Amino acid sequence: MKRITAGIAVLLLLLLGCAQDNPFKADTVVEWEGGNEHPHIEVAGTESGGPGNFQFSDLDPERNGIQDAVILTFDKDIDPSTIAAASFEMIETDPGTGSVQFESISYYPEDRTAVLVGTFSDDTAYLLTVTAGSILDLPGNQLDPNHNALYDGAPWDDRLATFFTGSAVMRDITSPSINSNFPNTGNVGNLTPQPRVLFDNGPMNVSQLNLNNFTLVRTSDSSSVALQVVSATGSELVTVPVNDLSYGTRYTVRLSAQITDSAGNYLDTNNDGYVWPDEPDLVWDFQIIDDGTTHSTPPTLSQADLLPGNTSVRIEFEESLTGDDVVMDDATFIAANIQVTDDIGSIPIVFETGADPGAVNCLLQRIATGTVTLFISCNVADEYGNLFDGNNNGLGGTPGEDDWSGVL
Amino acid sequence: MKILALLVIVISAVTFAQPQTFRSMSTSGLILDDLDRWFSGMLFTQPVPDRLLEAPGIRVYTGLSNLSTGTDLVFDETADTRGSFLLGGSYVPLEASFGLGVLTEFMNERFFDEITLFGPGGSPYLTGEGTVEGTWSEYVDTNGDGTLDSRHTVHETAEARTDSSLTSAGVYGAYEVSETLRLGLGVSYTTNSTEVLDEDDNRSLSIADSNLVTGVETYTLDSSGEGFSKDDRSSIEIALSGTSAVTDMMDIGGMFLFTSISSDISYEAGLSGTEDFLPGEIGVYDIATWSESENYAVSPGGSRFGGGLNMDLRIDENWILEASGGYYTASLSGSSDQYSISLDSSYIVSIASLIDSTIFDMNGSGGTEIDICDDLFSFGTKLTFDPSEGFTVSMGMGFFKHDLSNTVHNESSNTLVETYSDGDVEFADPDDYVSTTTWSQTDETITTESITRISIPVGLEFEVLPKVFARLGASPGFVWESETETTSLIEASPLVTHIVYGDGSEDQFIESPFETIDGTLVETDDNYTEIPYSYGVGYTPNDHIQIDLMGLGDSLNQWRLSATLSF
Repeated sequence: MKRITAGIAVLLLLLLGCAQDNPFKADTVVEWEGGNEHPHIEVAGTESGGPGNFQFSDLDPERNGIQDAVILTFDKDIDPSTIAAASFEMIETDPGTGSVQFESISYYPEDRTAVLVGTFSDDTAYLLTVTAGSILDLPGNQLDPNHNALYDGAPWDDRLATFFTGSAVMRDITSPSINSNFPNTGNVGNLTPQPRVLFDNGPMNVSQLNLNNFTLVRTSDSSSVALQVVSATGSELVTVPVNDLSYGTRYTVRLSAQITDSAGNYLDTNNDGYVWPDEPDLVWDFQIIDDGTTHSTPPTLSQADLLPGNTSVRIEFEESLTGDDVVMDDATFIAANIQVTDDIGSIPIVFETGADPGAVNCLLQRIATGTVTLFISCNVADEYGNLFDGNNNGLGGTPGEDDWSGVL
Repeated sequence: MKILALLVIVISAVTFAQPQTFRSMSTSGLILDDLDRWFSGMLFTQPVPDRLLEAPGIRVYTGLSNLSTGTDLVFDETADTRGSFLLGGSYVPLEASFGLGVLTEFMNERFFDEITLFGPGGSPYLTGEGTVEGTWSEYVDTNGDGTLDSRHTVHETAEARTDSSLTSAGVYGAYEVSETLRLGLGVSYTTNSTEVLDEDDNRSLSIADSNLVTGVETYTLDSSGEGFSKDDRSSIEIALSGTSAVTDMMDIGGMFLFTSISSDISYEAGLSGTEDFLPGEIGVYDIATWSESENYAVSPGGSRFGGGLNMDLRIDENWILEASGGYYTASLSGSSDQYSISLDSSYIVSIASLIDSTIFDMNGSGGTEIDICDDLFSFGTKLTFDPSEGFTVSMGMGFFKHDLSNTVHNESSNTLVETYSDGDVEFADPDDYVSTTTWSQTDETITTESITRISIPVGLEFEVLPKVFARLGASPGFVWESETETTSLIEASPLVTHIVYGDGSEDQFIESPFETIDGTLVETDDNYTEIPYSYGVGYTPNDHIQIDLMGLGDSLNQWRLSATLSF
């Protein structure tokens, strides 16, 4: 019986040995490519207080000083070899200015967290700088603290964090931003308006709130308009023209992006929370209303309709702000300024003007189907050359902002 | 897939057919004519030039010989006269110790594919070959007022053809060293070229829509593409042979053959076009443009070598026993990193005062490796009984095994960059973005074919009338055939898209689910028996001409004729 059992076992082994192999020569190895998104520090904090807490507390009372750690959590997997002393600079900012050496620096890949252990002094504020370009993720991308998807180098891509013990005051590392700016419409009736800016997250460096960094020009020819400062404080800059402005005239105000707050942080002019190397100046327009001798109020849309049969669109214009009748410049009724699209694509148009000088009929060269959308460019003008005011704020002619579109 | 199709052509460079005489073909390859003896050699595998000495005198193979394919229907006036032609001859002076043979083949032809163009409603309106071109229009009364308001006009061209050419020339010599030993040497050169223009690659399309009332064009589309696949190959072949009379009754011969093969395979295709919804409006856009190209080139090269042995034993005055065996192996391999594909396209549309643009830029590159192996082994014996000048019968047994495999290894990696701008000059515009997508793949296709045949042929030739010989042949056999095609995905990466928006924010996502075909196998395994019959007639009106006929039947159109001159 044993022989029979052994024989069956041998036979089974032989059969298994003869089983057909997988005929496909190679294995499939899926390689995940890409990964070129820049890493960021999602949150900073302390070991004692947790994420978002910046006060050191003593975790080891038996030792002199305050033993705590800085916790930095990244949003991507970091190359552990770049979490090293050379990547971090810690200095005392209040009261001293000396540097601080961390006792240990560790990285925990499972949590994407770096832990920087140190002994800190009481009643002291610290500034941590994660040096630009020092820390890399696994694909080799640098940190991008200013979130512009580029590596800009120092100081733009230095990542700053502040910490304190006791009653020390942390350094201000927040960029100032724009709270509001005035006047900014086309219906300014005062010939001596006060161009002004209100700031958040200051205080501003008042010495920089001067007429070199804040200018007013006539928009049409960029001729300078003299201003004088009414008020320059940590939170606002108020100016006034030296002479009366002119009726029916548009003006452009410019505030330099190169001003800082009192701590030296550059202005965040577009309020996105980050400062880029090419942060733009803050620029806006306003316009003095017409008097009886000027005609600067732009036209705007009164009504637009797709006529029965889907072969024509009628557009009627009116004066912005007032709603008065306007006479349009027929020469600006061209395909570059007025477009109609449907589910197929753009529809060629033949423009037809009639008895109403403030209206135009757009004869569609094929029957529109589906959703019909009308686009009116800010380059449509009235008889005085005033460009179309798509957002009806009294200021026309700004591409994008003064374009109009709507489904008919 | 194009490269696989081209490979079939390359393989034929290794295994191009040998011409056979009608005498051989109509007796199942058992009763050989002069040309079969020295050119088709042992079991039709290699030339044996020393056998030139077996055919004293002059043989001239003209166009009448019908040797190239043997299928020309000379009595059918409607038959296509195109094809290759083979010219040559042999010369062995009487009482001389040397012989010469020359064989050349020429072919130059163009085939046109049938192309159909489709008109309104998808109905075909033109079918033709070569280059076709057509224009059709559709007029519509869009508002039902009894007059036609719009016109839709389509102009289309397409071209498809295949050009082939072949030039082959071989020179063979034989020398009788002694009464018991003769040697032969042959050198041949063959060059072959094929260029294919595919209908899908060589096509143009123009569409123009207009408003008949105002004459305004409302839509245009222009697209054109050109492309070809090309295969150039050449080979140089050297054949050495020798036969020794071991005894008065027995000869033993052998031959060796070496072939050097080179080839160039390439494919190029390009396509470009424009679609415009606002034709004729300067500075206003609703226009898409595209331009793409694809090309690859690979130059496999290799060699074929082999040899064979033969024994002729004259058992007595009327009986001859022959035994032959031959083997050759061929390999071709080549690699290329010249594969590339690029695509540039854009869509630009005017939106009020802004110009919205989306631009695509795709580039791909990679390489192809080809490895082809071709092995053949054959062995056969035959016993020939030749009791008189008017009757010959031969029986034999043959074993034939042919294995062919090719491996194509493809690597490709691609990057697609999409750049979108809404046309304004907004700083840190979150609407604008640059999207980069990458993916790659490496795959391999292995194709194998194997044929094994055991045959028991019999052939006879007998004189039915003075100078007229009837020939019969049958070759019953057992055949085993198998084919496999295996595709394997070696490596693949999914589509990974990384988007950077104008405001600096980033996004990244991966193709999910990422689906792959990891491998496929198509396999056929067949075995069957076959009994191919053949027959023919030979007529020798005088000492200078031999006429052979095959395909004899009720219709004279189907008769095939071969005429060989001898002096």
